[in-house]
Amino acid sequence: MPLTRIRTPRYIKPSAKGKQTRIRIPQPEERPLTLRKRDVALWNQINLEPWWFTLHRRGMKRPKIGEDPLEARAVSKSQVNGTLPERIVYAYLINRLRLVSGLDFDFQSSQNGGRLELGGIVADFLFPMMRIVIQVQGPTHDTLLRSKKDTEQEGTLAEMGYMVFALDDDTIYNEYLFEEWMRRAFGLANGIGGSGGAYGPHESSMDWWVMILARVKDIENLYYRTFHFGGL
Amino acid sequence: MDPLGDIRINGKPYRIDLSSYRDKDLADFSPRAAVAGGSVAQSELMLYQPLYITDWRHGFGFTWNTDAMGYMHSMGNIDTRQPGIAMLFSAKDETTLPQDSGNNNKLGIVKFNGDLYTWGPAGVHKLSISGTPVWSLIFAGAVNYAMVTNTYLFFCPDGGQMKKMTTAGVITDAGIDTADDFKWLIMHKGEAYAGEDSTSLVHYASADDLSDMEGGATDEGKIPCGFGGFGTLGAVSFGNELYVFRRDGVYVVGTDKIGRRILDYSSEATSDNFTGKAIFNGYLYYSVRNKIYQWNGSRVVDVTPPRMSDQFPYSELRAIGPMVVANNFLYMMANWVNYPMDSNIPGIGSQGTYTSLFCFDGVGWHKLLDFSTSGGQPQYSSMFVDGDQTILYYFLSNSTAANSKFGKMQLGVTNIASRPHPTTGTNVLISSRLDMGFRRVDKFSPSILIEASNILKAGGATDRWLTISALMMGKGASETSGDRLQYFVLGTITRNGVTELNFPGASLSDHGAHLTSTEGLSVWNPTQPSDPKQWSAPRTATVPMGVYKYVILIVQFHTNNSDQSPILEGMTLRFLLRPDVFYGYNFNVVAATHSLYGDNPDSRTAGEIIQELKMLRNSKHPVEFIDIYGLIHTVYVSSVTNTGVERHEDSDTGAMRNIETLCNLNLVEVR
Repeated sequence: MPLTRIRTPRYIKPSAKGKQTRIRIPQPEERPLTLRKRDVALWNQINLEPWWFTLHRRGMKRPKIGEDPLEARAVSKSQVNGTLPERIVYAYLINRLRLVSGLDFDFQSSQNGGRLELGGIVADFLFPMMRIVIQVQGPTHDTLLRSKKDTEQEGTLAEMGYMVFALDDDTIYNEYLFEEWMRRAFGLANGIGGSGGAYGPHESSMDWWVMILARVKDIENLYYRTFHFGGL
Repeated sequence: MDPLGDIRINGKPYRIDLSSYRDKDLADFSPRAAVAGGSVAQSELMLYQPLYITDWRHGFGFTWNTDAMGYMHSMGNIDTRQPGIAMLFSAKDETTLPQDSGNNNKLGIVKFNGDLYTWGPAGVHKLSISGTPVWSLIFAGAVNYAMVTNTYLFFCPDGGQMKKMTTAGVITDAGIDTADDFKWLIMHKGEAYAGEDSTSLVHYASADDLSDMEGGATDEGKIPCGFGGFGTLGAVSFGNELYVFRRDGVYVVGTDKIGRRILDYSSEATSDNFTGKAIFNGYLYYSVRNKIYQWNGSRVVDVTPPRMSDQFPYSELRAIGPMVVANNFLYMMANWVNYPMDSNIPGIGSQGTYTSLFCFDGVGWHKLLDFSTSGGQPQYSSMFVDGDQTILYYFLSNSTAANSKFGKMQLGVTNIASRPHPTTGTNVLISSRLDMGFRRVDKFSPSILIEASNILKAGGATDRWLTISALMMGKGASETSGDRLQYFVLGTITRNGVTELNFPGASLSDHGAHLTSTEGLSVWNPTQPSDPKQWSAPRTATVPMGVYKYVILIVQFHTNNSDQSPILEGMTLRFLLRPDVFYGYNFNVVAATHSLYGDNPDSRTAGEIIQELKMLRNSKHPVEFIDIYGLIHTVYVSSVTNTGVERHEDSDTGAMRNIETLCNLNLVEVR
């Protein structure tokens, strides 16, 4: 009897037929009737600052006007139904790389059942001719279950002949890092082999962080695979 | 003072409660632009807002600042392909190599046995580059095409039988005696294909010396690409298929040796179609008239460079010439008509046809250098990259042989442009119109921060530096004068790191004198109270203002040392949005029946006054408002609130209602 007993989660326990069940992400609860709530307190008329506290303001109040800078880099929601990072990637693909949606790439491409079947795959950007997939990773992809699901999907897509690139939100929001990432993913001229002048390319330091984070993530995955799921 | 009231609205006088009179500015002092045209706008924790430009990799053609990495235009030798920097591109060299004596058009360049060979209407010429560069005639008579293998230089005399030349320089016939008058040659899937000139037939052979190449209609292996009439112009091997170009379309020769038209350009068939074609990064690029298309095997996308100027007539691409690929860049020679945006911009040149070297990196177009500022015929020109030496050789055809040039330039072994850099000429990078996302709102900039490196300015032969200028569209002589473009030199960058340059008008001393009480301000001219231009500002015409609707930044690159290039790393424009101010007014009008104002009785009843104010509130057009100081404004009555104050009994009028009322009015100024 081992000192610590690791229980295999039921959802990946081999079935009676000997086949592994695919990981199922619990779906959000949906209620047929949404009760709308309203805060009756008029917070804007309530002074929450005590009389003895002096807030040091940053100059005079100046409202922020104009379009959100990230939205300015994205296609509109009316054109593409997706998250902001996905719409930024979409805009880059069609505007900068001049790719054609539906021909060069498929957005929210359903594979292996897609959303209709639990455990299916929805590839964010699938490039059938280049045989690559770009998955835009939001903040929830860091959770254990989600990361395991991503790993499983990556394996499934690899079996289908696709190489999967994970692109996280932070990279997308950084305009220069995103530019470099896309150029490298699509084999275009990039910062490799060149110099950014006296101070180096300004994304280089960020590149190190990306590499370090990727390495840490790999080690994490290895750890979980080895100790939590009974080996590789 | 008005004899009948304190104020007038829509020409009618009203008496007001003076203690209730308020006027207040309603416009924000300086709202922060959340997005400056999509670019990075940061905070410096002070009043001014910085617009940061530090990358130019999306290339030229962005008239407005809608892309943080785009710019409008460049002249001379400017390289914007590198991440985070802009620098001088390599200089062309048309003097080291001799010019061919006849200087006839050279339709192509190849390297064979260590030397360069060109072909064209005047035959095959050799430029020995392994030793002292010397031109020599190898074969007289027009030659349509040449192709090299390790052992032979094959070439196709116009109307004659195909020839081959050995490394020893021995020229003999190639193919059987019908292998005549080929227009092009290409290797594809282990075979050599040849297209007949002025016919749609393609032939192929597989022997190393092409001894089995046949020609003419008697060739049983001939491959027709459409019907006769249009001859084939060339071919490329792309995606495991042979693409054959005719002036009316693109044909694909399948494994069954049948040519099928896959792209139809019969509606715009010209002899200049497909003058440029190359395979770059997995796509086939080709030109049709003055358009460039990208083909991936299933769809076509227009990737033509955008227009390069912001004013009509626009500078746009015209004739397109040869394309070559090197260092993961697609290089293209093409000409365009330069319509100078503003004659003050250094190096902008004069109106005319220019021939330039363009570069496509898969994302943006960059204009790297101007081969010629006086014409050019890129469709009869040629380019060739010698991979051994990383040199781009070119022949620029022009209308006269004397103006046609054979030259070269050193390409870098990495992405960075190689030395030598140009020590002469004017090389400028012209930014987009920086409007901070709000085209019609005035902005003011006190200064600009320039980040640069590899700068040296000691007055010697190794100097390299930058000059920064601004082209500002904004008010010039007075607040009410029309917007106009004004050009200012902001300063010179003479040291590494960050340099701050002031804009005109940033300092009071820039005006040459202290501001008078009226300069830059709007004042009322009491002699013409009804003049709608009464708010004109009496600025002197010569005083420049640092106020603009948009600004175009111009960076000029200089070097005295061809080994060195100044490096522009970033520009930070400090600005403040300054929207026009407008005011709101609030006061109580006293509405009373037959009230006396001094000695003057008001004939209106309280109800009539209230009715007038309600009609003004309902007015769909703005009304004139003369305030208590006699200043005239154009306003809307935005709200009316009536409060009864007192009932006045009047024995004379009997039952007539006489209720004194205070009417609280809000007026909003409009312009």
